[in-house]
Amino acid sequence: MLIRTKLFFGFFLILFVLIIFKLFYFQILKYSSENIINHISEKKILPERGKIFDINNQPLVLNNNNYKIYLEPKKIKEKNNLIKELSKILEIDETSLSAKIDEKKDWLAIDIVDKEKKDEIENLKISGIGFEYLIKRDYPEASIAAHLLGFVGKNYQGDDIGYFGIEGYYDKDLAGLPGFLKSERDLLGRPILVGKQEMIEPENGRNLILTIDKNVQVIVKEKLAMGIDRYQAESGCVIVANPKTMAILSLVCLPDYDQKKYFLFSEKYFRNPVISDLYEPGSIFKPLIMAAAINEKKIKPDDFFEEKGPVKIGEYSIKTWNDRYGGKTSMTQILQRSSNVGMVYVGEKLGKDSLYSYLQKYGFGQLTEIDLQGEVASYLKPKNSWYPIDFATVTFGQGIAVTPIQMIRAFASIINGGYILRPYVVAKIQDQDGKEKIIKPQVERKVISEISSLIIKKMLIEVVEGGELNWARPKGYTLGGKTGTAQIPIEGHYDPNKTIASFIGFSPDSSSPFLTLVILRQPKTSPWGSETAAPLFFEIAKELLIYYNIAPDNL
Amino acid sequence: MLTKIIWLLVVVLLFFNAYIFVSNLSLGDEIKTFDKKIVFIRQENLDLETKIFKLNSYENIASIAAQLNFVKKEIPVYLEDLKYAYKN
Repeated sequence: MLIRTKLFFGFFLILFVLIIFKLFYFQILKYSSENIINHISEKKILPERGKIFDINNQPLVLNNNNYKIYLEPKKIKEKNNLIKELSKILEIDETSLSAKIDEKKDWLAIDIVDKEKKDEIENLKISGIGFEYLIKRDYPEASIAAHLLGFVGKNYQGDDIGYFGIEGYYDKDLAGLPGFLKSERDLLGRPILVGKQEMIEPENGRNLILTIDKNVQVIVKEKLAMGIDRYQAESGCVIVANPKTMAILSLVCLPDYDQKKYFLFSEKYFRNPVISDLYEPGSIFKPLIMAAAINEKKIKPDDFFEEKGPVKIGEYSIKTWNDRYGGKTSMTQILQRSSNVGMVYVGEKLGKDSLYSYLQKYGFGQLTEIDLQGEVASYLKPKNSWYPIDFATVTFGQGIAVTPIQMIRAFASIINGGYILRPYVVAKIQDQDGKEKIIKPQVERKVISEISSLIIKKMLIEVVEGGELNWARPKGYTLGGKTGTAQIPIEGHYDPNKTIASFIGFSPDSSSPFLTLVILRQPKTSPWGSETAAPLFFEIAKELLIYYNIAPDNL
Repeated sequence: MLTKIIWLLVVVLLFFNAYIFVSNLSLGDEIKTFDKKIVFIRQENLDLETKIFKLNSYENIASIAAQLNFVKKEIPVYLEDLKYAYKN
């Protein structure tokens, strides 16, 4: 019995000694701090960033697998072969790649590639090349809406962060919440089940479904590119919105940038001119003042005034754009002929206090609070610092700076029954469990009455039908709108050769209404909105009428 | 008798312990394999999703159209002498 017990204890003693030797081997002879760190694996589990879809659930921004290629110069055996093969696949010049490889370094990043290229490089089986897995943003429609969507870059800590547009505004929703894994692992990286195992699941970012229609965006972008080219403009923007809800259906500005290679572009390309740039709107502002005067019952569309010649305001003389004066002119004709002198008359009828109050009600000097990062508000100086000439010029859209989004919002209010709404681009926010938050149109205030809105709408339809724009109008369709040509103020005076040509137009169809603002900066073929922005609007409108299946109503 | 039972228990526990140890190892292995598979499937899913959506994209359609030479002909050809059109 005693011998058996001794044998038994002896057996265990040998086992313990063996274990102690093994521990001595790992902890003393083959000590590595990595082993200790690797024993408890602590890992941040990154959530997947939310995707962005258009109104028909067509993707605009997705996530895709990417790999950072890195080299370990000390492990490279065939340097020349590596340079030759890599430069072929990565389309990098051999000399630049060779210059990049510093043999003193342990590690250097080369490029970011997709899975296909990674597999191609892996198949070469060249030593010294490694890959690090990354999830990057992918744009199936390329830069179809670069200014609107923004891009994902890095912050100071090296984490992903959204910049500009939707990526910037909804960064917290899109980013999600990271998870956490703390797990005891053996030497081979297997979890030790009796050890500590803690895991907090990550919460993926929310998906966004936009009000933007990909098809409208494609139509608008193609036409704008053509327009900029044809009229030799410096840049241009088009916004299409539903005037009843102020849901943005399309927003394009050119030139734009490639979101995937944003780092190759300078910062000026990232600014969205629709929300970040101020400009003097010019004559497209006239209907706003006209609507205000109608609403205040100071004028009626069939009232007449005598357009005799330039009007004097202090030391300044205000003329019509062509210096021709039509005599007896109706209020509708003031808009048709875009008469500055006529608008000064309307402004005087409206009165200074009322005029200033309407500017505030239309939302000038305030943010529209559109859900895009980077919006600026124009400055509306206090009423007591306005000179008489300011009250006169503002009636035809000079001497006031606005953003295009402020302009289209104010214009929407005069054709939608008088409501100022908050413009928006995100229609739904969807979490990872499929729960949806629907964003509804938000009415902020009422500016003019339904009747005043109907009157000004009819006047604007007559502007298109009876004015010089009739030739460009799609036959059989009712469209309303107004041209604008604003001079650009440079160092205290207006440059007569540099203009911002614009047109704001709408389809009054009740089932699929659309309001479109076209802006061309410094067109060279003609400075006038009627000869550049207006034809471009009608080309866009023709396509939109077909797309929305709107039947002709005016045959 | 009691000693025998204790010995038997010790042996059973020893084997049971060894069994738990080995099954822990194999479970750990399985978890590691599944971890890898989950990561792989997730990546595969992302890849497939991107590929499907790309097939439906205007970018892809435009590039196929260009490859097939489906482009707008800027200048239409008008037949001035229709007799050629009626031939054959």
